[in-house]
Amino acid sequence: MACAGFDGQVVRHDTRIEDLLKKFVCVRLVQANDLDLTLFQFDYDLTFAAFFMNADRTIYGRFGSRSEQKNAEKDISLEGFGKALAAALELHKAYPMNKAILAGKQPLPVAMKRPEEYATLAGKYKPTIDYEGKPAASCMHCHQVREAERRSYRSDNKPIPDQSLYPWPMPAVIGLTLDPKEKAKVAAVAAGSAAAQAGFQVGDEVATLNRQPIISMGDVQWVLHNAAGPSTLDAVVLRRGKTANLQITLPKDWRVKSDIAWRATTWDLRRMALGGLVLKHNPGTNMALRVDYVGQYDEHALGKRSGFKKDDVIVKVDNEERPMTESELLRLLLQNKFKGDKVPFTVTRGEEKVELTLPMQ
Amino acid sequence: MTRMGLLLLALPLMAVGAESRDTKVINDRADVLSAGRWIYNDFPKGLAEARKTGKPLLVVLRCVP
Repeated sequence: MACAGFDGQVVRHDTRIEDLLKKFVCVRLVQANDLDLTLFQFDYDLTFAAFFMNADRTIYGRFGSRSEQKNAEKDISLEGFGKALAAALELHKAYPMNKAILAGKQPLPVAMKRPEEYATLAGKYKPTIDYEGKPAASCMHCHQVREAERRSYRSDNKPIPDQSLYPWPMPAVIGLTLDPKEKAKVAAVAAGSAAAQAGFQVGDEVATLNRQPIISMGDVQWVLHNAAGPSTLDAVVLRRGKTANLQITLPKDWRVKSDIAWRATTWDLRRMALGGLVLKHNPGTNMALRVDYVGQYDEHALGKRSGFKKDDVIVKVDNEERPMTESELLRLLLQNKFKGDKVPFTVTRGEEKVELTLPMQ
Repeated sequence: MTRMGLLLLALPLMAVGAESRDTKVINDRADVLSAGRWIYNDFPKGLAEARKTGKPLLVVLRCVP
């Protein structure tokens, strides 16, 4: 269970945040069954996410970030959470005078108001967990919401859009590394990145982004999640006691740099586009995606049934030979190939070159 | 070995895994409710409490199993 250590500290009211938590009404939701998607819009791959809000449902901020499968707590800390709690209390004190600046933090219209409205989830879950029968099996996971959304595109033979494929981009995608022990303080700026071009400096504290007050890394991700490409984002940073206005220019395909390999929902994308294969990228001038794992059962075994073997190196897919990551190949296939399409793959197996055909699902 | 054979061999392990996940879900509720600090799986109750007290809400979404 990822984030168990962090979650335990929060749920037990760790002494470092106890006084802050006493100033909140604390609610714990452990199911996506009947979840109000018109309100709770967050990164559904997270196993721990938090909202700070008013009783009138106005959202002050969000908390929760993740970029790795194994090291699930790399991007969060109790210190950062405490600072977000304190900042949320400040926003609450100023409410409703500050309602206008909170407008951009509010939920956006969604296709489905409840997860159960998606065809693939309809009728499968009751509104509450069955504690007397099968508690785990009756509990809908949050990641199933994203999967259901993507399956609806797939079943309609529509491309899965970038926002769904690359949800909740980490700030690193635009070149910003934020300190998880702070609200949104810049720890590093990647050379040549959108953040570097905007003028971000190490030590800057992101005060607002797109005119929204920022109280966590999750808040930055909310802005990025909803940012188009191309577009520009206005930022105000605190730098050595003064404010500086910056403008981030996002190119057309900016979010494609996101690595989605860690996400639970990517398992289902691999089923659709790779027949259950898991690929690792070998850097180079040409495509070189090594088959790291071959799925064994049902639709996840289609790659195996199509002739792929562990350690095959994919060098060409449907006349495409550019170097790309697994995440980029998933995008290429899920936006251009649909259920039933048969896609030619060329792999190298030792000294041998093998031509294979993989049906899309 | 056939796939059915493998499944039969794996059944005891699967049962342990399922029991473990069920236990996690049950224990999470029991532990959190006994501490008395959190409103559990009841957002409307949280909203009502926030209206009554004037406090803001902290809503944690946690995937337990």
